[in-house]
Amino acid sequence: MLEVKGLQAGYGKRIILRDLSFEVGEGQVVALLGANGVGKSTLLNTLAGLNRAQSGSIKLDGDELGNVPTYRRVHRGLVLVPDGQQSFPGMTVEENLVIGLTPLKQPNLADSLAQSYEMFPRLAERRSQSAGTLSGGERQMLAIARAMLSQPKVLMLDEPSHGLAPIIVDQIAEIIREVAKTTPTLLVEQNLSIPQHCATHVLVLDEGRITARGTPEELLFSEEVVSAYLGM
Amino acid sequence: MSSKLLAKAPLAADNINVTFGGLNALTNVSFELAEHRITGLIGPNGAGKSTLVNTLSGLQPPTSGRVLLKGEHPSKWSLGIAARSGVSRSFQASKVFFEMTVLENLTLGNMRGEALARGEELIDLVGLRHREDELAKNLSFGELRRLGVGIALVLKPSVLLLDEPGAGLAGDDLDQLSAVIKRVRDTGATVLLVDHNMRFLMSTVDHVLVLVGGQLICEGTPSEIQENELVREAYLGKRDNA
Amino acid sequence: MSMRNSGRPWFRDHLGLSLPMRLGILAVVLIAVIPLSGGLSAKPLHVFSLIALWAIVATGLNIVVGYAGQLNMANGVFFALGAYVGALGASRWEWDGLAVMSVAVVAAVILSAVISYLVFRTKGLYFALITTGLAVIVDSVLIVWTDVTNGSLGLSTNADGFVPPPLTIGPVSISTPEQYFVLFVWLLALLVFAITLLARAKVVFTWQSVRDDEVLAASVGVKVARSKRTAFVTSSAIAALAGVVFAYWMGYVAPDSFVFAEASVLPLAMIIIGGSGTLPGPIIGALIVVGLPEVVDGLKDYSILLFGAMLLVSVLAAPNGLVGLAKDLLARRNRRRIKDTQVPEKVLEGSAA
Repeated sequence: MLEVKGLQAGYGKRIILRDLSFEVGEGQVVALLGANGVGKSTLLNTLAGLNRAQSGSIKLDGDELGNVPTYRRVHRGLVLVPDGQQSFPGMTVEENLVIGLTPLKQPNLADSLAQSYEMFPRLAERRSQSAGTLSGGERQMLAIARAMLSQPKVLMLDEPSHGLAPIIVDQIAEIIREVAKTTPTLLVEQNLSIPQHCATHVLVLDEGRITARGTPEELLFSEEVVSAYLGM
Repeated sequence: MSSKLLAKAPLAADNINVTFGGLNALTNVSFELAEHRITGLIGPNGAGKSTLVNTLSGLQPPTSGRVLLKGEHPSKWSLGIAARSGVSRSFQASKVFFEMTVLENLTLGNMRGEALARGEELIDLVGLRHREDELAKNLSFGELRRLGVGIALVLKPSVLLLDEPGAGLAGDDLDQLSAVIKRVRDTGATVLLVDHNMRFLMSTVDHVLVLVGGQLICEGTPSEIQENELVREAYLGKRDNA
Repeated sequence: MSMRNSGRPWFRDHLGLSLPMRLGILAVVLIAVIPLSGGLSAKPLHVFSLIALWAIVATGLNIVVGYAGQLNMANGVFFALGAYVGALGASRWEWDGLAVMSVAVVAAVILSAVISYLVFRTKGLYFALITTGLAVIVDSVLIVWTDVTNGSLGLSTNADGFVPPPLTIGPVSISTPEQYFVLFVWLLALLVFAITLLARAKVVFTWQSVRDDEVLAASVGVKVARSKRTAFVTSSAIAALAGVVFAYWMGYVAPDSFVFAEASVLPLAMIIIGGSGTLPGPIIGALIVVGLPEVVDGLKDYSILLFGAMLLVSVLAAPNGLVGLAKDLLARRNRRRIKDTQVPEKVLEGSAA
């Protein structure tokens, strides 16, 4: 479970996020929506420890994260899948996955990989291929699979649909729904396609604050969201 | 989309295509900028807005199609030629002459006569009078942005292209910038404004062009655009009918 | 215009020292150097003459390297051009000094103009490479073209092998070391003053804008390529002029003292150490680079080592040269003064984002 209270963050004098408070609990997929430049990436980067919070608290399963560096947060179980379907293009699919096992003390390589391949059969087919040859959707799957291998307590995804074709987006949404069964998930998106399919809770970020909270039925495509996006 | 181009439009795009190594950044983009108006250019990330500004300002030659200046097609179109023909632009990154003072930036080193008068005018327009002898590198982020807009105005352009002048600004800074842009329009210039901040853009412009995936999908007043289904879909995604 | 001068003393305007002030200083220098030349003994006179000459070359090179920001490695080519024209003019053609100087300058202008039209189409790196190549080629040409240059043997200015001919500029005849010293200082002072005028006419700003941000410069209407060309041509013309007077002064020119090592690289070092892109920088640099080894005994043998060390220290500790260091210290002192009189930032900031 992830608890964020009164979070303020930015870059030096530029304050981007003000007084953010929300939670991501068991079985939940919390979708944080916002227009371009509103602070979605800043939020995830701050939660992941890539950017220092100016004030507020971030608690993972009750433990305050404070100024703990990124790799420690991963070890503790807060894992980020960054924007852009990033992988190590020079390595094979399998090698990319194995890197996901880094935080674990005594990983069982064979079992872990087997579990992964069960959840992502497409990756199994391509296990010895170089990651650079995968399609956009496959690389996104790879990024999520790798993140899952770290056995996260909370999973965060930065614009998972970015740059992907609509059919692929549906597949990714399906995967996220599966993942959320075992791992509370926070996803940040501009596009509403994925949240439509798998979000359990919706937050709207506008000018650095959460201006609306509710269910997908209430908020997705509501006038509130449209106004936030189109500056009304 | 109207394919008729007003002969007198200060600046227009005629079937502009820009391709980068196999990728179509802009496809068949045609429009005209109406005189004395602030036109906004919006579109999701990667839609090609910066590429379009780069092409209109002469920085990026189109793969095909042309930029029209008052209906005429200039045989050569570069940043320098555009600037000397009355088409100026600001840049996304804070581009100023850092080792020069604010006043030197706005007079382009010519501290006398008309140039100095113009510089003084601009310094007041962008609200930097209190910093006039300060080296540009010592300015705050918001001040740098306003200076950038000011520099684009030095040559008294008839067309001003602003590429995300509000990026990184908020609150008062943004309101000030909006006021500056409107004042520029009021002096008779034609303005094209690109910015991600919708509230800032929609409250500043008179007319809006929407670019999605390198193509112009519609244009209209701010409220028309905000109500437009295509635009909503471009930004929010398609609504499932399930 | 009087409002612009608020807070400044009477002798300063927005560009530093006011024009009348500068004219005054110029006049003082031009006049004072004459009795000064008489008061110096042979050795110091020689050293200061050398410093003044190199200061001219460095100041000229500063135009294209310091102001316009283009790394010119071929300055020695134009210095050599001037020197050989000078030597030929003195020995073979026996022309009036002014005619010789004109020929040298015109030749330099033509050569540099042609090169600049070819070169200033691509980005900066290529200019440095091309000028380096040019320097190497010309070095060989000087050695091989024996009909004209007499190859490695060099040329002396006196056809009969005895007394070097004087440099005649109209009615004036320059032959003694004192006279040459005055000439060099005059040329340097006039050059510095000319650059001052260029600064006031915004030409220098244009060059600097090209150096600092070509794209921005273009966007405010600067003709970037043309600006680079004029800087290069001006710089080369000055080098050629310096070469002519050098030939008359020395009485002898040979390939090894010119093209690459000395006249191309030394002035660069002077510019860096003194302060690139400033007016006093190249002069201070010349003072140090030429003067120091002469003044400190025994240093001459280690001059190359000393050189390298000075350059290294410069680049690491004072990238804007000594002039830059001085400006920084002044600015820091001023800032401290202002800070004591200002309201703390926090009170002013409010809801700034």
